[in-house]
Amino acid sequence: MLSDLNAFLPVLTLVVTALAIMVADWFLPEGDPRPPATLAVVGLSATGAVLARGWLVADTPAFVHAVARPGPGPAEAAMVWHDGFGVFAGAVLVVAALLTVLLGLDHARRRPALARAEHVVLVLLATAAMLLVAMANDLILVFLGIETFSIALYVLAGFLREERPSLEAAMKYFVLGAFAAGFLLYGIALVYASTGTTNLEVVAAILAAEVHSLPRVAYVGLGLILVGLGFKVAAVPFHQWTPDVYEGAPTTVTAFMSAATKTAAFAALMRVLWVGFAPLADAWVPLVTGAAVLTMVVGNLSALVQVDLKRMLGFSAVAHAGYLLVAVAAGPALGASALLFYLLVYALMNLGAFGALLAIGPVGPEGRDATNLRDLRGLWTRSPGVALALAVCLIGLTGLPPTAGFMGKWYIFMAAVDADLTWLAAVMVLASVVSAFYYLRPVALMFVAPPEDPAVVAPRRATAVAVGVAAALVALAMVVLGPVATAATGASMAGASPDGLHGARAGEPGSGALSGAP
Amino acid sequence: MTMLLDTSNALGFPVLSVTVFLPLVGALLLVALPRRHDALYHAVGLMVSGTTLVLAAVLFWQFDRSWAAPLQGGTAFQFADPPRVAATWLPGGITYQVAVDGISVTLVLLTGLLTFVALLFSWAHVHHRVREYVAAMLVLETGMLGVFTALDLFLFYVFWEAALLPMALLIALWGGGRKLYATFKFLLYTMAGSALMLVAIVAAVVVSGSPTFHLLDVLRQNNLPAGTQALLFAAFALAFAVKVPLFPFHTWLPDAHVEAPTAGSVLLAGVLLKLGTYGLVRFAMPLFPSAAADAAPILIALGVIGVWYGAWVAYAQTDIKSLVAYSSVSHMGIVVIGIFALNAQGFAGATLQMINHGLSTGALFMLVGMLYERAHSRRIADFGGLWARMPRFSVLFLVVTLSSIGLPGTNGFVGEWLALLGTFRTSVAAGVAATFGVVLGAAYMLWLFQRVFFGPPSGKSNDVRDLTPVEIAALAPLILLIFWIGLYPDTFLQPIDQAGQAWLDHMRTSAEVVATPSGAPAP
Repeated sequence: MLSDLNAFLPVLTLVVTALAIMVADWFLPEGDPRPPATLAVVGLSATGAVLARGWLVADTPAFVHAVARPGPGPAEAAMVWHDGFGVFAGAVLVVAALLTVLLGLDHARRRPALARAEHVVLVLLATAAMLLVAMANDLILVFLGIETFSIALYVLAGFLREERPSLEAAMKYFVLGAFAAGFLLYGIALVYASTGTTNLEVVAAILAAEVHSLPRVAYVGLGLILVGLGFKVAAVPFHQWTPDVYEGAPTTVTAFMSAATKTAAFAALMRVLWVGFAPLADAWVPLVTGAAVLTMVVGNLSALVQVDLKRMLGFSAVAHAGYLLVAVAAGPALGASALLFYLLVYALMNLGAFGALLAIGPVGPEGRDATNLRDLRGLWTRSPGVALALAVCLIGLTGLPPTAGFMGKWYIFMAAVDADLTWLAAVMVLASVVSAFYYLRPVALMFVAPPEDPAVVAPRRATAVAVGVAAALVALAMVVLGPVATAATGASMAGASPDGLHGARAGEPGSGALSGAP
Repeated sequence: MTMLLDTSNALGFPVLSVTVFLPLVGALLLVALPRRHDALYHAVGLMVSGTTLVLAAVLFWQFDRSWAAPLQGGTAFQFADPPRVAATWLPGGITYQVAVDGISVTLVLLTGLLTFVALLFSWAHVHHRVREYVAAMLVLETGMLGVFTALDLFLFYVFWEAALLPMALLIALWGGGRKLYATFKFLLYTMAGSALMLVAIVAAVVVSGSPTFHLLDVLRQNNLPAGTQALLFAAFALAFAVKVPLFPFHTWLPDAHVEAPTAGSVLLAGVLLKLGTYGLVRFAMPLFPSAAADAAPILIALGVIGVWYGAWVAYAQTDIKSLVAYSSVSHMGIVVIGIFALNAQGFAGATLQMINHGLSTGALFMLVGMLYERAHSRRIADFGGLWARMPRFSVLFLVVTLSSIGLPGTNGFVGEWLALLGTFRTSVAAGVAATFGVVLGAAYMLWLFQRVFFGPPSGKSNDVRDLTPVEIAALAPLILLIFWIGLYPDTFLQPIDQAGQAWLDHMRTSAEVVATPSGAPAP
């Protein structure tokens, strides 16, 4: 029982904080974003501390229950695995939420609607649900978590209810998200129909035992689950909502979605595929690699022609989903570590980039956010700090050394090559080269072009701190993120065979190359 | 395994790491300085790059040229930092270690010298966004020095790409008319070239089962099957061929050179192109020796085409700077041919030619830049009879021209002679073709000189002043080295030969594929 509580503590901390803010909101002055944000920062820091403590504890199953179904597989199963993978993913989520709250604090000064306490509360609740998803070992829990954070995000996307783009984004996101949820749930039902369980480890055991006599409906179920999760991670061809929602949603929310949703959805995808459906890997690995190629190509090519930066970063999010799918295809050992590290790096780069856009402040007479390529002209002369931070994040997204983005991609390459997917790694680097064009064009505009509006840009403190920290970590990754990469390497996923698809690979030359110290 | 790590460090402190990162520290210092003190920024840049140059010179001077002898041709990477075992840096077998052998120590000196000289030139001529300019130059210097000293493949790649952005920034901010076009062409060509190398680096380590990305660890495995070698070598060679640039991957070069500011061109031609040939020698060929030997005829052929094509196109240029740019394609062709001759003379000649090309082309770009600052034109037709107006300028231009075409007594002669000698030993046909290409090179350079400097003063030649003392000071070390190498090349050939012997030994023993043409083993 106590171990259950321990495993659940980070989620609990977040939910309690959210509830506390809702109660406190009764007594707080209206329209001041600072008190709820402060409470949220305290709660998130506490969650971070709980996660850090959890990191030191060995992997523990939680909410263990007897398996009712007779037949192959373990007699007991856990709903939640408090393991290295989940804790690391949780840490990424907390970092993303923290940066989001800081960015939202200043954004709320320009957009009074965002000053309401519900904004922060929804971010916290979404983070709690995402944390649950990252640790969920049961398809039902995965579905519940995804639905919970999705509903929070639908509301957040439409938070500027006086503004059409925001409402449109929320509506689109909701309708397509509901479709995706339907696919996911139907898939889970079909898997249940053919295995009699929703627990991932039990599903795996049954699939392994009956792999040759499986009803076709199990494969259909797997396919529908892939479609449902594919929507959430924005994999082509289920990516169409991404640019519209990214463009329309309030910039803070877009930043949060891009970093946190991606983390939760990819953690779920990794665990569902490599724990639950590892015995069917031969069937779905080609699907994942195919989707990875498509996603990288379509995402990068579409991003090339965008002039709206939020939309561009939306397609960039699609492209990055492709890179992350490469890590998923690479397997539950090196692939999972590379995935975790890249998710952290991606969160830093994306929140840094969106934060820098917010830092530019209102543009034009109507005071809109700076989202057009034009708004970046001559930023270097208006604010060297913001320009440098944005440049660092964009260079990081391109994947050029010495930034964190390069490190992240490097580990994905290693995982892919180690999994005999060298060709996929090659596609990935070539796609990155294409991406250089759209990431570096804004950089060139910032440094070379003369400004349209010469006014000096002076970001407020919270934004400056958030953007500065993110950009500094991205820039100095090779000096400071080494221990984090080591941690990611050690973050194991409970219930997954470390050798992934082919246990036999362990004997081949090369598999030892990446683990040993020199 | 004949590549060894000499743990001795005559200087007693991590001199190499200091040399490599000093410019970067200088660049960070610049950011911290107050606004609007252009003279101060120039002074910091000169001081930092001057110190780096002194360190590079000390390294070159203290480099142990005799160390190889007792080991019968084994060479050493000297001044290794950390000294004995590479330091574990990042998880996944990534290590940190910098060290130099005879090739890299020479190239480090060249880098230090050209950066300092380029900054000296800029002191006189750059007045726009000085702080960013100097900072970009210094970051670029760290990138280049890092490439020449890194022993870990990851570290090498990091420096390799890190040198890219500051150069792009130099072109984009201080470049000429079509600067953004040139910048993106430069960026995308080089990045596309290096992209597959990245995969190949990872694949080489994973497939060979090497415990780390350290070059010596990977070389120790030496177990890659021929098919894999061919693929990986192709990926490496593509990256380096774009950088060299080897025909037909050269089309970014004229654009980048013509639009780049003078100091950018100096470093681009002087040092950045050598990153490509250095990469071939240090990484691509030793890692995949049998594939390198198999590919030698193709690369020699491309080199020969480059020599001819570069010279031919240079002949037709109307802009002095693009003429010099195309001459680079031609000269770097000789370097590639010399390397792939796979014998001692070819190697020594090619490596020396890397230095020579850095000196003479660097000097030529600076001279063209000085002329442009005065006349605001680089069109050959705008000039004539400059000798009468700018005698000092003309004499220096003549010296550099003669060095560039390889007149005996100048550095170009020694390098080209050795490279061609090596080529003849491997393939007479390639030797003949390359030699004629070199002669063609003499023709366009001399014709350029005749049109610009002789005859009665005409066009823009009338209202130009002669060189200032600062400009002469910037050119002086290059001129000095042109004659030094021309008259006493041993200073440079000794370390190069030492490294070359070990390199050939390695190529021979690890694959037994080095051609020994017509029964005459390479001495």
